[in-house]
Amino acid sequence: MADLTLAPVSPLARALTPGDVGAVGPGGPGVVFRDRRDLSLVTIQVRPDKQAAARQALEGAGFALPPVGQAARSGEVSVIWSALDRWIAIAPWAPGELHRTLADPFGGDPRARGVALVDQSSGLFALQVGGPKLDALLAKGTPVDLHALETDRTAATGIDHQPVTLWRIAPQTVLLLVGRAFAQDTLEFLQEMALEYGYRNG
Amino acid sequence: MRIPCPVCGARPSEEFTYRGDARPVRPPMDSSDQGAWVDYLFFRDDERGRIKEQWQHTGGCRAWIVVDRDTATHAVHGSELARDAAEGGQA
Amino acid sequence: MRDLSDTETAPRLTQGGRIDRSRPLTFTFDGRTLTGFAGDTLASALLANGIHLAGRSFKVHRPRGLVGHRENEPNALMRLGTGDRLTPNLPATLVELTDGLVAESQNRWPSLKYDLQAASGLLKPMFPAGFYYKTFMWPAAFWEKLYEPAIRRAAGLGRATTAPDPDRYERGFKHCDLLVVGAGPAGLTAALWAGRAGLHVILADQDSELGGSLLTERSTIDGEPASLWVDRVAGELARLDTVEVMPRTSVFGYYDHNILGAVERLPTAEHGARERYWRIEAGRVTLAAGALERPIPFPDNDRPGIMLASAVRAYLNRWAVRTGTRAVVFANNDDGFSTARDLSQAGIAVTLVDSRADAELPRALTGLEVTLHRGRTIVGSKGRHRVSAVTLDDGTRLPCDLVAVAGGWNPVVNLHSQTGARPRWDSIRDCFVPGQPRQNESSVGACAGRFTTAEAIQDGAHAAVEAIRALGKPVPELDLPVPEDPPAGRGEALWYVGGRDSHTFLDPQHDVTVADVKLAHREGYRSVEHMKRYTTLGMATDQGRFGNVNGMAVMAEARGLSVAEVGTTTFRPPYTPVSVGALAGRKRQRTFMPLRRSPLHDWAADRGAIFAEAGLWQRSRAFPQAGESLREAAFRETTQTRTHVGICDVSTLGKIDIQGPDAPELLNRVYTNGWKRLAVGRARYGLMLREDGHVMDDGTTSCLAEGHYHMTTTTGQAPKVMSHLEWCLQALWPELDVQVQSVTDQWAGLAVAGPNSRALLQRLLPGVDLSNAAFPFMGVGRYALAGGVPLRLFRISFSGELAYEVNVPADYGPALADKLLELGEDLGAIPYGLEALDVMRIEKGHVTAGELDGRTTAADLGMAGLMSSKKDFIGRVLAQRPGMADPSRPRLVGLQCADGDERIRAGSHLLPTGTQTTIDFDEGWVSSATWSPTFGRHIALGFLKNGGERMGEVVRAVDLVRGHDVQVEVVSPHFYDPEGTRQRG
Ligand SMILES: [Zn+2]
Repeated sequence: MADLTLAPVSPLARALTPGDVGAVGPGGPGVVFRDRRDLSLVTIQVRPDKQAAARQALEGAGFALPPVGQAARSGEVSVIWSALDRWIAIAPWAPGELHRTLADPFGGDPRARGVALVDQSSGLFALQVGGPKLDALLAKGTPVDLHALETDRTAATGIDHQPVTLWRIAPQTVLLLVGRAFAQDTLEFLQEMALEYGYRNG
Repeated sequence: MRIPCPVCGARPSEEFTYRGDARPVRPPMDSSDQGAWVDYLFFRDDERGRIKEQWQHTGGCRAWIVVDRDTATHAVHGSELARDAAEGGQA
Repeated sequence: MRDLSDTETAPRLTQGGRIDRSRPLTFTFDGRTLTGFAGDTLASALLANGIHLAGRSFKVHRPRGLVGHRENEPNALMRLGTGDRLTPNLPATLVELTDGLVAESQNRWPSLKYDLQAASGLLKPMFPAGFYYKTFMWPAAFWEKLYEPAIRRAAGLGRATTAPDPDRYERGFKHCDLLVVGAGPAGLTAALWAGRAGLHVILADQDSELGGSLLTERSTIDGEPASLWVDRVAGELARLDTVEVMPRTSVFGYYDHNILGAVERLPTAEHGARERYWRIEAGRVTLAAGALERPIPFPDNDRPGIMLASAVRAYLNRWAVRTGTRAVVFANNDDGFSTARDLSQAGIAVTLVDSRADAELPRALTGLEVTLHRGRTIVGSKGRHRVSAVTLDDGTRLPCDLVAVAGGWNPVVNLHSQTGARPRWDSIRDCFVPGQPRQNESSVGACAGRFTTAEAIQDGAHAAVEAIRALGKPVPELDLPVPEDPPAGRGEALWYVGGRDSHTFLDPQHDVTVADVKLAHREGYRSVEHMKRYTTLGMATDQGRFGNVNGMAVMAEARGLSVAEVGTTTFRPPYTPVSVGALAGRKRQRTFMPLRRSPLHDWAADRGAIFAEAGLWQRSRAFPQAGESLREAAFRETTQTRTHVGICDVSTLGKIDIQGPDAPELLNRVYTNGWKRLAVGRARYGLMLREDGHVMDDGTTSCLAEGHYHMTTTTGQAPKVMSHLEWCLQALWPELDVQVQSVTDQWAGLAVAGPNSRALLQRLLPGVDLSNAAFPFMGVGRYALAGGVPLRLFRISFSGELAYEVNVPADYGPALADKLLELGEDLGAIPYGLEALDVMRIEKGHVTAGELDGRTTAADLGMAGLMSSKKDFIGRVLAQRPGMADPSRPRLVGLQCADGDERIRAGSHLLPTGTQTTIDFDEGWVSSATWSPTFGRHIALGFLKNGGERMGEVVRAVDLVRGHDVQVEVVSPHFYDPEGTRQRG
């Protein structure tokens, strides 16, 4: 019988080739880009009148449903706010596993509790951007006030007018979630804007 | 312009998509009164001063919101989620 | 008088100033190689080389010299650069000197010194005020051919290059608690105290150095030269974390909600941008942009060497340049004294002409050789390319090569005015000052008409305190330095010197004179806005910064009113010129719009696909083989798919995940047809209307599980449908228990079409029963591939063949496409593109964007049967309006050539045979057309009045644009397999 396994391909397979580009000084690159396709992403969308119950159910399982604009980490699973009534669970697991783990607290039937779980592991691309010039770089693309985007804060906004979710995971690192079809364009925008700082594709 | 999103806070108007005047009330779904539907869809007062208008935060949280804006000065006096406005306004 | 040595007469002083003599810079001006120093502007470097003549006026080409040292320079407009890096119309005063700079003067031919158009002094009478309005009124046809080219050639401000700009530009966003515009004493103080209190402060100044007027004047602060204080403050600001200092940054626009536009000029670097446009959102704004000196226009005041006194002092004090050797200072206020003092101390012979009858030389000037003519004015000048003498109203003739004119000050109220605030006339200081603010801003220091350094520092500190207080932070104890300025007192109003008004220039760039303003008054153009447009006063590149207020005063005098009563014109952005490149940023050429890539983009590119833009998407049109044209490839792909099997990337279709118990109710309300009985594992075609009853979109929606649906939309309408559903659920029916989310990017979609498609898919899914009985037309299944990769299978057909659509997570799309081609090699599997897809759907009579153009109804499309009468849905009522329900509306029909085989073109109009080709006989249009390899003829879809009843009739398809007129036969739009036996087989 024929081999029926399929190998996944990153949308940035050709745009994120390892190496240093631009004005990299002796202190190293100002910005580092990393493909975080090791992370699975499942959105948790909850009807407004069911959010209190959903939060309780998730907390019972050791997870959180953080307030608007915030991220919560519990072990390997982080849940970040991303849009109206919507959160994204992020974990370095297979998408199906993350999906099942999130469905369990809802008795395996989240739809009956006003909760929709949707796998977006391929639909959203997770790009990690870090480095001392992170904020200077982001300011060239996003209109949000980066002073207010502290660690474990999230924002639904745009980079170069493409909708993105920004999650600051450390003072000089963000995880940027962008629609897969725009991933390469967004990366190329950021790379061009990072030329003056020097960047590393890593 | 900056538009205060009730969810995300103030953001530049470029993140939002405009729909129109929020005040015309949609006829009941089962209404077959063509005149009422025509009024709802096509007739607008184009007033100078404070009006309520619908925007969607398409470049952000995707909430549909109702913004209280002065058409003469662009002063924005507040905003709320469209679903809250729907509950309060369309009994 | 003794003879002076060369160093004593050379323009550049051997010491002093803020230039770095250890860093000489070479540049060229009109082909001459010259030298300046780091710290020079192009203007100061030209003057240091003894060059005053820097341009010619716009209309009459009179020689013009440097006048100012800031953005008020009207004459010295330069074209910078070479080749494709050419920037015209830059004032030399705002250009920082760099090594290798290439500058050219403009508006002269053949050379600056010998301009042929100026040879006859007859030009001026040709261009009186309002000449555009009256001289060339008739006949109108002459305008384009004769008048305008002649005027343009005569005028010819600098030309830009037509080559693409090789430089990069960027845009960005900044946020701050306090934006300080201008880094003079007021701005520095405001930024310092606000920064010390921890506020996020941006301090922007167009200059390359901080300090503003303190760089150009001989003030002291706490007993030391002011420049030492500037350096100390600049040092502390650089150390404050929350303060961002932005030199070379012009804040040019003040918009609603305290949003300001600024452009930052960047030093040229290998990887850097040339300019950056910043959009700054500021909690508060402190306007500390200073003031600009105004002239006292007098007859023949436009000769090179006649300058503003502030500029003369600036060139001397900041750039160590003597702008002359023998100076006349003409003043109506005490600035004449400081000018005379500074010049005299630099070894320049000075005569002071003061219009005030009671002027007395102050103590500061004792011991200096300064002759005073009090109560006198200048009434004329002499000199060809440089002033050589002036004449006073008492007949005194004063030889000179420099005239420094001090006419008082105009606060820079432009940004304040851009907010919609109205500047008011201050009759004590004789200038416009800021009025009631309309946004969260305040003006400080000279920008508010408070001209001393002490006032500036107090104002700046006060602005900082206001900003600190507004944020609820503790207000610090202020400890302000004590400045000392050169002597200054009140001047008198002297707006121009009467006499030969037609030679008394208010706007030297546009050649607007006092006579022009008076003419405008006589001809009834008396409001300042009318006067501006009639005379073009203030419409030159300096935007009236030089002589506008004087012009308003001339009008006020003519009308017998005060300047306050006449008022000022409205200021609009930009305050200073902004290059289009900076505004555009990266939005040009390939990066003009973002590019959306299908998960199969690279896969298709590797197979030689030719791409087409579809909105932001790039879609593969066809996969030509060696030697094949696009057309040939598309037709081969069509035939191969119809006879064997083809796979096509349909990932761009919109996909929406719908979950919740009320999902069927939502579908029922947004689609025209019924959805309550759609079983799990089944798909259905749906038609969506807008509220106005027109068709918005179509697509299939599948029931994946109880309360879980998968909707597809057309590629183009996907974002609109998504917003529409969100609108319905958030604003119209928040009570419905449904949630929607776009999953367009999550799933790669492949259409697998053709008689061998089942056999091919059976090889991919060996354990699944794909027989027609088990998996019929419109069936839906969910499976897992090896490794748990989910796969969704939909038996839907756009081509009319036995066909499926396969979805896998986008990451697996390329591998799936490869696998299908590999598994289907012996079945004849090939990839096909958008062109073959389009050919097949036209053959099948399926509608797409050409038919769903926002003007068609369900009945127009032959889908009246999909309009349920058993339920309510969006668009139901308004679709029944008489004009929408008219049975004679153009209806979807098929068209084929009546005889022969001529091409039918999309966009053609349909007319009956035997009528004139006029709009009166127009009966419809062709919406899509193609050559059909299946039928071996040209076919088309179109809309024709009463189309349903006209089968077999011959009509004309007329394309007047491309000159086509073809006889076509009206047939059913379903050319191919009208019974659907293939897709259901
Ligand atoms: Zn929002």
